[in-house]
Amino acid sequence: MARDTANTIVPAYRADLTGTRCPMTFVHAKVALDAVESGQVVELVLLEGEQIQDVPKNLKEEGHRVIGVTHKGDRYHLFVRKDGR
Amino acid sequence: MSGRGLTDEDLERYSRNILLPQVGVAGQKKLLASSALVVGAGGLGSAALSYLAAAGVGRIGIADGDRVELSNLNRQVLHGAADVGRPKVESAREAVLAINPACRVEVIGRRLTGETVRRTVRGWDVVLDAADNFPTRFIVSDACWLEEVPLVSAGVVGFQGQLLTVLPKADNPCYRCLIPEPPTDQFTATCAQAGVLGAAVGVLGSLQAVEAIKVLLGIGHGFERRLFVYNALEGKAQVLQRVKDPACALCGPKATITDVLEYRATCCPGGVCGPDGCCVPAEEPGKKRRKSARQRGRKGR
Repeated sequence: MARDTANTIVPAYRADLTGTRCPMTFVHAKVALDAVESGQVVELVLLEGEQIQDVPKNLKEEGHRVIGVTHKGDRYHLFVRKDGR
Repeated sequence: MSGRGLTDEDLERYSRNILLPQVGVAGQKKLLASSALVVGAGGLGSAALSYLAAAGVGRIGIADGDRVELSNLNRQVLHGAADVGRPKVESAREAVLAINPACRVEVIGRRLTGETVRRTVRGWDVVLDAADNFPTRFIVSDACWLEEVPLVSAGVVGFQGQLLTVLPKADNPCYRCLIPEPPTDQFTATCAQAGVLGAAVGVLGSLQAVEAIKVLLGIGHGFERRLFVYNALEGKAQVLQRVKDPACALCGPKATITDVLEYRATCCPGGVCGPDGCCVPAEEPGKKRRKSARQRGRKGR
Protein backbone atom coordinates (compact mmCIF):
# COMPACT_ATOMS: atom_id res chain seq x y z
CA MET A 1 0.00 0.00 0.00
CA ALA A 2 2.84 2.35 0.88
CA ARG A 3 4.40 1.78 -2.52
CA ASP A 4 1.17 2.62 -4.34
CA THR A 5 0.80 5.79 -2.32
CA ALA A 6 4.38 6.82 -2.93
CA ASN A 7 4.10 6.26 -6.68
CA THR A 8 1.39 8.88 -6.95
CA ILE A 9 3.15 11.54 -4.88
CA VAL A 10 5.07 14.48 -6.28
CA PRO A 11 7.26 15.75 -3.46
CA ALA A 12 7.79 19.47 -3.02
CA TYR A 13 11.36 18.89 -1.83
CA ARG A 14 13.84 16.04 -2.05
CA ALA A 15 16.90 15.39 0.11
CA ASP A 16 19.47 12.60 -0.10
CA LEU A 17 20.59 11.89 3.45
CA THR A 18 22.67 8.81 2.64
CA GLY A 19 25.95 10.69 3.10
CA THR A 20 25.11 11.83 6.61
CA ARG A 21 25.60 10.23 10.02
CA CYS A 22 23.50 10.30 13.14
CA PRO A 23 22.51 12.78 14.49
CA MET A 24 23.12 15.00 11.43
CA THR A 25 20.83 12.73 9.42
CA PHE A 26 17.88 13.95 11.43
CA VAL A 27 19.10 17.56 11.37
CA HIS A 28 19.07 17.42 7.56
CA ALA A 29 15.66 15.74 7.60
CA LYS A 30 14.38 18.69 9.63
CA VAL A 31 16.02 21.13 7.23
CA ALA A 32 14.16 19.42 4.35
CA LEU A 33 10.85 19.75 6.19
CA ASP A 34 11.60 23.38 7.02
CA ALA A 35 11.91 24.05 3.28
CA VAL A 36 8.25 23.20 2.58
CA GLU A 37 4.90 24.43 3.80
CA SER A 38 2.70 22.55 6.22
CA GLY A 39 0.86 19.77 4.35
CA GLN A 40 3.45 19.48 1.59
CA VAL A 41 5.47 16.31 1.04
CA VAL A 42 9.24 15.81 1.15
CA GLU A 43 11.10 12.81 -0.20
CA LEU A 44 14.05 11.63 1.91
CA VAL A 45 16.56 9.10 0.62
CA LEU A 46 17.86 6.94 3.47
CA LEU A 47 20.17 3.97 3.86
CA GLU A 48 19.17 0.58 5.16
CA GLY A 49 19.95 0.09 8.86
CA GLU A 50 20.05 2.87 11.42
CA GLN A 51 18.78 5.59 9.07
CA ILE A 52 15.59 3.83 7.96
CA GLN A 53 15.02 2.47 11.47
CA ASP A 54 15.29 5.80 13.27
CA VAL A 55 14.27 8.63 10.94
CA PRO A 56 10.62 7.64 10.33
CA LYS A 57 10.09 7.05 14.05
CA ASN A 58 11.61 10.42 14.97
CA LEU A 59 9.61 12.26 12.30
CA LYS A 60 6.38 10.78 13.65
CA GLU A 61 7.31 11.90 17.16
CA GLU A 62 7.60 15.46 15.83
CA GLY A 63 4.12 15.34 14.32
CA HIS A 64 4.90 14.54 10.69
CA ARG A 65 3.34 11.65 8.79
CA VAL A 66 5.15 9.06 6.74
CA ILE A 67 2.82 8.48 3.81
CA GLY A 68 4.93 6.13 1.73
CA VAL A 69 8.16 4.18 1.42
CA THR A 70 9.86 2.69 -1.63
CA HIS A 71 12.90 0.47 -1.51
CA LYS A 72 15.62 -0.22 -4.08
CA GLY A 73 18.81 -2.03 -3.04
CA ASP A 74 20.05 -0.54 0.20
CA ARG A 75 18.25 2.76 -0.36
CA TYR A 76 14.85 3.76 0.92
CA HIS A 77 12.77 6.65 -0.36
CA LEU A 78 10.63 8.00 2.44
CA PHE A 79 7.69 10.30 1.66
CA VAL A 80 6.77 12.54 4.57
CA ARG A 81 3.86 14.96 4.86
CA LYS A 82 4.81 17.97 6.97
CA ASP A 83 2.80 18.26 10.19
CA GLY A 84 0.78 15.23 9.16
CA ARG A 85 -1.91 17.31 7.50
CA MET B 1 22.77 20.68 1.60
CA SER B 2 21.73 23.50 3.88
CA GLY B 3 18.59 25.04 5.27
CA ARG B 4 17.60 28.31 3.71
CA GLY B 5 19.62 30.91 5.58
CA LEU B 6 21.73 28.32 7.44
CA THR B 7 25.13 27.18 6.20
CA ASP B 8 26.39 23.63 6.57
CA GLU B 9 28.64 24.91 9.35
CA ASP B 10 25.61 26.45 11.08
CA LEU B 11 23.76 23.16 10.85
CA GLU B 12 26.62 21.32 12.47
CA ARG B 13 27.36 23.96 15.11
CA TYR B 14 23.73 24.27 16.15
CA SER B 15 22.73 20.65 15.48
CA ARG B 16 21.99 19.94 19.16
CA ASN B 17 19.64 22.95 19.27
CA ILE B 18 17.97 22.04 15.98
CA LEU B 19 17.36 18.47 17.11
CA LEU B 20 15.16 19.75 19.93
CA PRO B 21 11.56 19.69 18.66
CA GLN B 22 10.87 23.00 20.45
CA VAL B 23 13.74 24.70 18.62
CA GLY B 24 14.16 23.08 15.22
CA VAL B 25 15.37 24.87 12.11
CA ALA B 26 12.89 27.72 12.49
CA GLY B 27 13.85 28.31 16.12
CA GLN B 28 17.55 28.37 15.30
CA LYS B 29 16.95 30.93 12.58
CA LYS B 30 15.02 32.97 15.11
CA LEU B 31 17.91 32.86 17.60
CA LEU B 32 20.37 33.93 14.92
CA ALA B 33 18.14 36.91 14.17
CA SER B 34 17.65 37.76 17.88
CA SER B 35 19.40 40.18 20.19
CA ALA B 36 20.19 40.08 23.90
CA LEU B 37 21.75 42.74 26.11
CA VAL B 38 23.58 41.54 29.21
CA VAL B 39 24.01 44.19 31.88
CA GLY B 40 27.05 43.14 33.89
CA ALA B 41 29.99 41.10 32.61
CA GLY B 42 30.68 39.59 36.02
CA GLY B 43 29.83 36.17 37.38
CA LEU B 44 26.24 35.98 36.17
CA GLY B 45 27.15 37.65 32.88
CA SER B 46 30.04 35.26 32.30
CA ALA B 47 27.79 32.22 32.32
CA ALA B 48 24.90 33.92 30.55
CA LEU B 49 27.03 35.43 27.79
CA SER B 50 28.81 32.13 27.15
CA TYR B 51 25.58 30.23 26.62
CA LEU B 52 23.85 32.97 24.64
CA ALA B 53 26.82 33.08 22.27
CA ALA B 54 27.03 29.30 22.06
CA ALA B 55 23.30 29.07 21.33
CA GLY B 56 23.73 31.39 18.37
CA VAL B 57 22.00 34.55 19.57
CA GLY B 58 23.01 36.78 16.68
CA ARG B 59 23.51 40.13 18.36
CA ILE B 60 24.86 40.35 21.88
CA GLY B 61 25.31 43.51 23.95
CA ILE B 62 27.61 43.69 26.96
CA ALA B 63 27.32 46.62 29.38
CA ASP B 64 29.82 47.02 32.19
CA GLY B 65 31.93 49.94 33.37
CA ASP B 66 34.36 47.97 35.51
CA ARG B 67 37.81 46.56 34.98
CA VAL B 68 38.77 42.96 35.77
CA GLU B 69 40.14 42.50 39.28
CA LEU B 70 41.96 39.48 40.63
CA SER B 71 39.19 38.95 43.19
CA ASN B 72 36.67 38.57 40.34
CA LEU B 73 38.25 35.42 39.02
CA ASN B 74 36.61 32.97 41.44
CA ARG B 75 33.38 33.40 39.50
CA GLN B 76 33.81 35.61 36.44
CA VAL B 77 34.96 32.86 34.13
CA LEU B 78 34.87 34.88 30.91
CA HIS B 79 37.94 36.70 32.21
CA GLY B 80 41.35 35.17 32.83
CA ALA B 81 44.41 36.05 34.88
CA ALA B 82 45.90 37.92 31.92
CA ASP B 83 42.84 40.17 31.78
CA VAL B 84 43.30 41.72 35.22
CA GLY B 85 43.20 45.49 34.81
CA ARG B 86 41.47 45.39 31.41
CA PRO B 87 37.92 46.70 30.88
CA LYS B 88 35.55 43.79 31.43
CA VAL B 89 33.68 44.55 28.23
CA GLU B 90 36.87 44.06 26.24
CA SER B 91 37.85 40.70 27.68
CA ALA B 92 34.20 39.60 27.60
CA ARG B 93 33.92 40.56 23.95
CA GLU B 94 37.02 38.51 23.11
CA ALA B 95 35.76 35.52 25.07
CA VAL B 96 32.32 35.65 23.43
CA LEU B 97 33.85 35.86 19.96
CA ALA B 98 36.18 32.97 20.80
CA ILE B 99 33.08 30.87 21.56
CA ASN B 100 31.19 32.02 18.49
CA PRO B 101 32.89 34.29 15.95
CA ALA B 102 29.60 34.76 14.12
CA CYS B 103 28.07 36.81 16.97
CA ARG B 104 27.77 40.55 16.52
CA VAL B 105 29.01 41.95 19.82
CA GLU B 106 28.31 45.50 20.93
CA VAL B 107 29.88 46.82 24.11
CA ILE B 108 28.94 49.63 26.45
CA GLY B 109 31.97 50.20 28.62
CA ARG B 110 30.46 52.50 31.19
CA ARG B 111 28.09 52.20 34.09
CA LEU B 112 24.47 52.70 33.04
CA THR B 113 22.79 55.80 34.38
CA GLY B 114 19.17 56.82 34.81
CA GLU B 115 19.67 59.37 32.08
CA THR B 116 20.80 56.95 29.37
CA VAL B 117 19.40 53.57 30.40
CA ARG B 118 16.12 53.79 28.44
CA ARG B 119 18.01 54.46 25.25
CA THR B 120 20.43 51.63 26.07
CA VAL B 121 17.78 48.93 26.55
CA ARG B 122 15.54 50.11 23.71
CA GLY B 123 15.31 47.76 20.75
CA TRP B 124 16.84 44.64 22.34
CA ASP B 125 14.73 41.48 22.20
CA VAL B 126 15.63 40.62 25.80
CA VAL B 127 17.74 42.16 28.55
CA LEU B 128 19.54 40.13 31.21
CA ASP B 129 20.10 41.91 34.49
CA ALA B 130 23.39 40.45 35.66
CA ALA B 131 24.35 43.49 37.72
CA ASP B 132 25.83 43.36 41.19
CA ASN B 133 24.05 46.31 42.74
CA PHE B 134 20.51 47.49 43.36
CA PRO B 135 20.75 50.95 41.79
CA THR B 136 21.61 49.36 38.43
CA ARG B 137 18.98 46.64 38.87
CA PHE B 138 16.28 49.25 39.48
CA ILE B 139 17.15 51.55 36.61
CA VAL B 140 17.41 48.58 34.23
CA SER B 141 14.14 47.01 35.36
CA ASP B 142 12.31 50.37 35.22
CA ALA B 143 13.73 51.08 31.77
CA CYS B 144 12.79 47.63 30.48
CA TRP B 145 9.21 47.99 31.71
CA LEU B 146 8.85 51.49 30.24
CA GLU B 147 10.44 50.45 26.93
CA GLU B 148 8.50 47.15 26.89
CA VAL B 149 11.60 44.97 26.71
CA PRO B 150 11.51 41.51 28.39
CA LEU B 151 13.87 41.22 31.36
CA VAL B 152 15.49 38.22 33.02
CA SER B 153 16.93 39.25 36.37
CA ALA B 154 19.11 37.20 38.70
CA GLY B 155 21.21 37.78 41.77
CA VAL B 156 23.43 35.69 44.02
CA VAL B 157 24.82 36.40 47.46
CA GLY B 158 26.73 33.80 49.38
CA PHE B 159 25.30 30.44 48.44
CA GLN B 160 21.83 31.75 47.63
CA GLY B 161 20.49 32.97 44.34
CA GLN B 162 17.21 34.01 42.84
CA LEU B 163 15.84 34.61 39.38
CA LEU B 164 12.73 36.08 37.83
CA THR B 165 11.50 37.16 34.43
CA VAL B 166 9.49 40.27 33.68
CA LEU B 167 7.41 40.24 30.52
CA PRO B 168 6.17 43.80 30.16
CA LYS B 169 2.47 43.16 29.63
CA ALA B 170 -0.25 44.81 31.68
CA ASP B 171 -1.30 41.67 33.58
CA ASN B 172 2.20 40.58 34.54
CA PRO B 173 4.01 41.62 37.71
CA CYS B 174 7.11 43.78 37.34
CA TYR B 175 10.31 43.72 39.40
CA ARG B 176 8.95 46.42 41.72
CA CYS B 177 5.89 44.30 42.53
CA LEU B 178 8.37 42.07 44.39
CA ILE B 179 10.82 44.73 45.62
CA PRO B 180 9.12 48.15 45.52
CA GLU B 181 12.21 50.21 46.35
CA PRO B 182 15.95 49.60 46.44
CA PRO B 183 16.63 48.07 49.86
CA THR B 184 18.58 50.12 52.33
CA ASP B 185 22.07 49.16 53.36
CA GLN B 186 21.01 47.35 56.51
CA PHE B 187 19.22 44.75 54.39
CA THR B 188 21.64 44.38 51.55
CA ALA B 189 25.13 43.26 50.77
CA THR B 190 26.62 43.56 47.35
CA CYS B 191 28.96 40.94 45.96
CA ALA B 192 31.79 43.22 46.98
CA GLN B 193 30.65 43.05 50.58
CA ALA B 194 29.89 39.39 50.86
CA GLY B 195 31.45 36.11 49.87
CA VAL B 196 29.91 34.29 46.97
CA LEU B 197 30.43 30.81 45.60
CA GLY B 198 31.46 31.19 41.98
CA ALA B 199 29.85 27.96 40.83
CA ALA B 200 26.52 29.00 42.39
CA VAL B 201 26.69 32.26 40.42
CA GLY B 202 27.30 30.13 37.33
CA VAL B 203 24.11 28.16 38.01
CA LEU B 204 22.01 31.33 38.07
CA GLY B 205 23.81 32.87 35.09
CA SER B 206 23.20 29.72 33.10
CA LEU B 207 19.57 29.76 34.16
CA GLN B 208 19.33 33.37 32.94
CA ALA B 209 20.55 32.23 29.53
CA VAL B 210 18.01 29.39 29.53
CA GLU B 211 15.14 31.75 30.37
CA ALA B 212 16.30 34.39 27.88
CA ILE B 213 16.45 31.80 25.10
CA LYS B 214 12.92 30.63 26.04
CA VAL B 215 11.73 34.23 25.85
CA LEU B 216 13.39 34.71 22.45
CA LEU B 217 11.82 31.53 21.10
CA GLY B 218 8.48 31.91 22.88
CA ILE B 219 8.67 28.36 24.25
CA GLY B 220 8.08 26.66 27.56
CA HIS B 221 6.99 27.96 30.92
CA GLY B 222 8.91 30.97 32.20
CA PHE B 223 9.33 32.82 35.48
CA GLU B 224 7.16 35.83 34.61
CA ARG B 225 4.79 34.95 37.46
CA ARG B 226 7.19 33.00 39.60
CA LEU B 227 10.41 33.44 41.53
CA PHE B 228 13.16 30.83 41.46
CA VAL B 229 15.15 30.58 44.67
CA TYR B 230 18.24 28.38 44.90
CA ASN B 231 20.21 27.52 47.99
CA ALA B 232 23.42 25.88 46.87
CA LEU B 233 24.57 25.06 50.38
CA GLU B 234 21.40 23.24 51.36
CA GLY B 235 20.94 21.76 47.90
CA LYS B 236 17.42 23.18 47.70
CA ALA B 237 15.48 24.98 45.01
CA GLN B 238 12.09 26.58 45.46
CA VAL B 239 9.66 28.11 43.00
CA LEU B 240 7.40 30.74 44.56
CA GLN B 241 4.39 32.42 42.97
CA ARG B 242 4.65 36.14 42.21
CA VAL B 243 1.60 38.34 41.89
CA LYS B 244 1.01 41.81 40.54
CA ASP B 245 0.90 44.51 43.21
CA PRO B 246 -2.15 46.69 42.55
CA ALA B 247 -0.37 49.54 44.33
CA CYS B 248 2.87 49.16 42.32
CA ALA B 249 4.34 52.56 41.48
CA LEU B 250 5.67 51.30 38.14
CA CYS B 251 3.06 48.95 36.69
CA GLY B 252 -0.05 49.48 38.84
CA PRO B 253 -3.19 51.33 37.69
CA LYS B 254 -2.04 54.42 39.57
CA ALA B 255 1.60 54.24 38.56
CA THR B 256 3.63 57.26 39.53
CA ILE B 257 6.89 56.26 37.90
CA THR B 258 6.81 57.42 34.31
CA ASP B 259 10.53 57.75 33.73
CA VAL B 260 13.68 56.18 35.12
CA LEU B 261 14.78 57.56 38.46
CA GLU B 262 18.43 57.72 39.38
CA TYR B 263 19.34 55.89 42.54
CA ARG B 264 22.15 56.59 44.84
CA ALA B 265 23.62 53.71 46.72
CA THR B 266 22.52 53.82 50.33
CA CYS B 267 25.41 51.93 51.84
CA CYS B 268 27.59 55.03 52.04
CA PRO B 269 25.43 58.06 52.78
CA GLY B 270 26.19 60.64 50.15
CA GLY B 271 28.11 58.08 48.13
CA VAL B 272 27.71 56.87 44.61
CA CYS B 273 28.09 53.41 43.16
CA GLY B 274 31.63 52.56 42.25
CA PRO B 275 33.36 49.55 40.73
CA ASP B 276 32.22 46.07 41.61
CA GLY B 277 29.04 47.26 43.29
CA CYS B 278 30.72 48.99 46.17
CA CYS B 279 30.20 52.63 46.96
CA VAL B 280 32.62 55.48 46.80
CA PRO B 281 32.13 58.86 48.37
CA ALA B 282 30.79 61.53 46.09
CA GLU B 283 33.70 63.64 44.97
CA GLU B 284 33.62 67.21 46.11
CA PRO B 285 35.01 69.77 43.73
CA GLY B 286 38.68 70.41 44.39
CA LYS B 287 38.97 67.53 46.83
CA LYS B 288 40.78 64.29 46.27
CA ARG B 289 38.66 61.16 46.55
CA ARG B 290 39.15 59.42 49.89
CA LYS B 291 38.29 55.92 50.83
CA SER B 292 35.26 55.51 53.02
CA ALA B 293 35.54 53.92 56.42
CA ARG B 294 33.77 50.86 55.01
CA GLN B 295 36.24 50.54 52.18
CA ARG B 296 39.22 51.02 54.46
CA GLY B 297 37.78 48.40 56.78
CA ARG B 298 37.49 45.92 53.92
CA LYS B 299 41.14 46.13 53.05
CA GLY B 300 42.83 42.78 53.23
CA ARG B 301 39.67 40.70 53.36
